[in-house]
Amino acid sequence: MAATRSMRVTVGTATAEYTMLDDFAPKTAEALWESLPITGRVTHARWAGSAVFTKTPNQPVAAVSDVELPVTSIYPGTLVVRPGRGVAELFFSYGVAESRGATGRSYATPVAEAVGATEEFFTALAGTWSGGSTDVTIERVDG
Amino acid sequence: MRQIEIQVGDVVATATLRTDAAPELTARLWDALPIEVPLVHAIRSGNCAEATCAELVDPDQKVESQVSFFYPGMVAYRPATGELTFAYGQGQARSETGTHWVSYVGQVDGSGDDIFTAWEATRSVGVSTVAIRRKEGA
Amino acid sequence: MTNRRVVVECDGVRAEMELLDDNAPKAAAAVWDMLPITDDAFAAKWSGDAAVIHPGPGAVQDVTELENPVTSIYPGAVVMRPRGSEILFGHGVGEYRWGVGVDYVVRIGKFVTNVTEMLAVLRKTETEGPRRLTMSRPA
Repeated sequence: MAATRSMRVTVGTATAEYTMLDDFAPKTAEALWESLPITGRVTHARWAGSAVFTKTPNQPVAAVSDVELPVTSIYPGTLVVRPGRGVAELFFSYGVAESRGATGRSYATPVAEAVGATEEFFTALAGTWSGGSTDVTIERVDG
Repeated sequence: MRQIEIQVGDVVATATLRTDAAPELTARLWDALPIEVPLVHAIRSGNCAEATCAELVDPDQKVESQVSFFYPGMVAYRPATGELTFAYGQGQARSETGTHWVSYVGQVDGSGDDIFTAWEATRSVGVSTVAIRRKEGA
Repeated sequence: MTNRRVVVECDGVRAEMELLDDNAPKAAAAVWDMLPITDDAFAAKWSGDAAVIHPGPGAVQDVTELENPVTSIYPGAVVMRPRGSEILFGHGVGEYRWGVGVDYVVRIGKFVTNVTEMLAVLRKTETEGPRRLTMSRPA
């Protein structure tokens, strides 16, 4: 069995570890892995519910156009990738969330899930609703 | 004609209440004014900001002039939760499991560009405050 | 607090499912209360890559709430329809649907041991027909 890869996600000052879901969507997971590190801003979702999102132009994930394992529901603690126009949209759920847009539900690919202690981290994600956008960094654990 | 003023920060906009289309809910809103409550961005309903006022809660009140979709400048009122929605773009009244109906109670007068910017800003800067009062002379 | 485990056996394969008490306390408690549950697991006809069982009469019928509702059924996820008419086990691309379209269910569990083997067995329901499935409390 292949070793599990992990990412470290920092939102504001809170950090969580995410395990890659290589079995779910190997191509998309690999594309995200190869695109790390990613830095930017997270903003609270306006359609998706209890989630925050960031957009990245990093390659190769920004070039992903397929939805490898289509889901609408973004389970709490899950990171999904949704193809955009020249960017990849990454959504981090902390509660009940769905991939949605103006015209209704849309589909995204789950690529990682949070492991370990997440309460402080989820609080930070939820905090963007009242506190506004904040910085995000996504990097490989152990390089 | 009843008009209200909606203020966020230094920006003030006037909106006309749709008293013919939603007589009971516009009256309820009018009677509750002035109010000043937190304003946050929607998390499921799209391009709009939302505020909740306890005085506006009435689970038994019928939704007059019911709409699901929002368009720029709409002010909507959901009596079951006392929630007011201020749309600066396209949106829809949505919940965890689908869509619902709200009452279309008012419309911003004029272009609304400045107040739209203020409503939209809640997305990036977080919670703000909205003050709603009766327009003098209205 | 560590979530409780439920043993799932199907076609000679044994796996453990973590019961998501935090996510769906009422549904999880009702399922636990009804164990053991045995039924034929057959391929879903609306919901894609999922195997379905019907738990039968019991505590799950009193669970009417949608606790943290979802439509998608991830691989390895176990979901239940309110009022417990059916439990689905995801093994690929799944979305809860029925005759009139997409609908919402409650996530009650996820497989945490022997996942690959269990999903392979569940997948067989699509091509080889129903399989006897048992959910039970660990010994």
